[in-house]
Parts: sequence; structure tokens; C-alpha cells
Amino acid sequence: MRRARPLALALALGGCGLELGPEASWVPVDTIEAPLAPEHGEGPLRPFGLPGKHLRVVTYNVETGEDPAGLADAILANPNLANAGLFLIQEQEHYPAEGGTRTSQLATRLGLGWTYVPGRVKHDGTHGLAILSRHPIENVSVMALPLAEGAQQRIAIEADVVIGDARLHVVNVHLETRINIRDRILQLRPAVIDQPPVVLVAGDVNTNPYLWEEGRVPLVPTAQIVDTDQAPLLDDYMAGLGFDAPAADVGPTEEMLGIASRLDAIYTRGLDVSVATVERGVAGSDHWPVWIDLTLP
Amino acid sequence: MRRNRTRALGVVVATLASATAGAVAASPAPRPTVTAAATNANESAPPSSATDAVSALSVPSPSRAEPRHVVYLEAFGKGGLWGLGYAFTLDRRLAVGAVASSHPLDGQRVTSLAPYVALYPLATRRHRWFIDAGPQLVRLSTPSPVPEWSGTVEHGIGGQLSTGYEYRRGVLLRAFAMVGAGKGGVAPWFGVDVGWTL
Repeated sequence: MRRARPLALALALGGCGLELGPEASWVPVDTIEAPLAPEHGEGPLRPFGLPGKHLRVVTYNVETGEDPAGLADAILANPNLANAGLFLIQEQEHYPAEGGTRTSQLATRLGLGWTYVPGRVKHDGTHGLAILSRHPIENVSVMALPLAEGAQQRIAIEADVVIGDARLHVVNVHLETRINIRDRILQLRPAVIDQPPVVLVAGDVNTNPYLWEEGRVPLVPTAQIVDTDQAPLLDDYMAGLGFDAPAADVGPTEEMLGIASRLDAIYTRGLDVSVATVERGVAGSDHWPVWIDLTLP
Repeated sequence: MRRNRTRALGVVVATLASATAGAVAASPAPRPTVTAAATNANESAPPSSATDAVSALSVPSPSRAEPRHVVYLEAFGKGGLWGLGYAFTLDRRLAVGAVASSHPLDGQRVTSLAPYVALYPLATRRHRWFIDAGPQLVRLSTPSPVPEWSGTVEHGIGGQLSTGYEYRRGVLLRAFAMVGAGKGGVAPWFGVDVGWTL
């Protein structure tokens, strides 16, 4: 009855190009068994956050989250992040030798509930996405996104965050790095195309500023002459689906080898957003956390 | 910083363009000293001064007319990924040419044209050091893979400065480093040419 099969099947088809990948669909995470079984938890919730139907949402690629205590300290030391009620976390990992999952250690220190959803096996552990929330998390599902040729399995997770008598439907994604914008749209599309009218989509969409030849060679000089930045193109695609991109003007969310890129994004539909920014002073990852304040309808 | 680099590239381009204009004006007249040396070999004294020796190295004296046309395939270089190039020799030290390219990338298409002026500061008959510079025009077409998005077309213009080694002996081989500059900044790159002299 339990089924790790959809993700396992996607893993087995790792050599296929995007256009040849299996039809992506949402799978309730509670039907998935080890080694990709999810973990949910809720410790004592710390009283904090914005009042009423206002919510601060953070998207943060934690670069494997190897030091949960250090990461929690960095978040709590930043007043803007310390007040956040919902974190969508990418690139989280878990290894049995470490005891509890890194997600559970981070969430406990932040006084948040959590769900960790592995997307693939890595060594003797797993690699995946997480949601940390001061509000209950329900109806969690995972989607194995279409595979880029020769790349690793990427996933999206969706869930309902229950805030009083309101529900916020959220989608957390982590897309492939060295693909071009058309494949990036094709990889993201199954996770966003059939979402309800009120929804938040966020994550590491890896919108780097280059054209890639076979996922290996970035055409660097071409990028100096013509605009090859994938971030505004993905914003444009999402706008066609009715999404706003409130964090489009926050600037780079990652810098590597002197190249600054807006790799992380937050998209909203049917939600009022008042503030959006990136916290470049937060250490602990190769990405910087991006957050918005929203008001539920 | 970027502005300074772009300005420096512009100065080099302007310098090369100025040198080319002078060469075009002077090019119809053959070099009288070379012709005299070839015609009156028995009467001429062998080069004895240091100045003569340097001249012999940097300005080779041909025993027959050198090919003036070059066609080549370029890997990476001015086309980004690859290109087809042509160059016309104006003078022993100067040439003009262009590299054109159009290639698909996962359904996108990059089309570029890069005309240039080349200078040969040092040259023997087979081995040459070259510097070239010129504008780069690029068109990037991104058709949509899905019905809910319309796709985009981007155009851009920038410049490039290249320098490297060239070998000619019927075949043409080049390896060079280059910097490309445009509204996105300045970036290093490289290229390799394989072609023929005609």
C-alpha cells in the first residue's frame, strides 16, 4: 500500500530529458515509505510573529543545513527573520548518524513545527525540502519534477498552512541549476499550473544569468551583450499564470565567484504583499534568505 | 570599474580603426624596399645592422604573393559557442574580417555577427601574433515551450578584444584569449580557429 514508487520511478529515469520525463503528479507524502518517508513534528511553539492574518514568509536554501544550531542562531539574531511564521527551506539533508533530522533540530531551536520531505537518497541519508511553521501544516504532497538530462531528481512540495480559520496553500520548489529558461519553465510548470486561485509559490528556482550549452558550458560573453538572465523570464512566465513577483526587485540572493544572481523567488496569487526583501547579512548558507509580509484574504 | 574597462576597450578599437584607415590608404603601393631587395639580390649587401634584422623578422619578405583570403571555423570565440569566419588581408599588418554564428540551445537560438579589425604587431611568414577588436551584435530568440507564455526576443550590441597566436601554411590555426564587453559588463573568453588561406 505504501508507495515510494513514484519517486523511485523518477529516480530510475534519471537519464531522460525533460521532454521525455514521466508525467509529474502530486503524491501525498504519508503514502511514501522509507528511505524517502517524510518526517513531521511539532515541539513547543515559541510565541512570536505578526498579528491576525498577517504572515511573514521566508524562503531559504540552507545548503544542506549541516549546522542546525548555527543556522538557528543566525536566524534568531536577525529580527526580521526571527519574527517569521513560515519558512520554506530548500537543500535540507538528513543522515541517520546525526540522530534527529537537521530539519527537526533547526525547527526545535526556532520554536516551529516542521515537515521534512526527502526527494532523493544521498549517501546513507536523504536530500529534500522542508517547511517550518508556527501554524499547523496539513495536506502535504510531493511532486517529482521532470528530470533534466544527467541531473539529479528535483521535487516540489505543497501543503496547507492553517492560520486560525484561514488556510494558505503553499508550494516549495527547488529547480535544476544548469538548464536554460525553456527547460526551467517545463520543470516548474507541473507544480504551479493547476494551483488554486490563492497560493504562494517560493523556493530556489536557480534562475542564473547564463545560457548553458548541454548543461556544461555557460556562454559567458553572450551574457555580457544580450540579457540572458533567467529570473525576469521566469517572473514573466509566472505573471502569465496570474502570479505577482513581490521579491523581483530585491536583487541578488546569491553570489559566487563574484557573480551575483537572483536564484530565489517568491510568487503570490490572490494575496496582498506589503514588504519584500533579502537578508544579505545572514551567514550559514551560500544563499541569502528572502522574505515577504503578506495578508491572507 | 566596468565603465573603465569598457572605455579601455573603446580606446583599443579606435586605435585599431585609425591604423586600418592608414593602411587602406597606403595599401595599393607595394613595399619598394622589399621589391628592390628581391630584384637586386646580387647587388644588395646582406642586412648587417640590428634594425635590418628586426625588420626581417617582423615584416617577412615574400617570394610570391601571400593569400589574402582566409575562411575558418571558430570554436567558442566571437560566436560564443562556434562561428564561421572570414578575413581579408589589407596589408601585412592589417586585416578585416567577421565571424557569424547561429546555433540552437534547448530550443532557443543565438545569432551573432562580429566584424573586426585585426592587427599583426609581430609576424613571420608562418607565425604571427595578432590583436583584433570590433563590435558584436547578438540576437537571442526564446520561443515559448508552453501555451501560457509568449516567449521573448532579445537584441544586444557589445564589443570584443582578442589576442593570440596564428599559424599559416595553407591551413590556418589560431588560439586566442578575448574579453567581451557589453551592458552586462566585461567577461573573459577564449577561442580556437581552424581554416584555410585562399
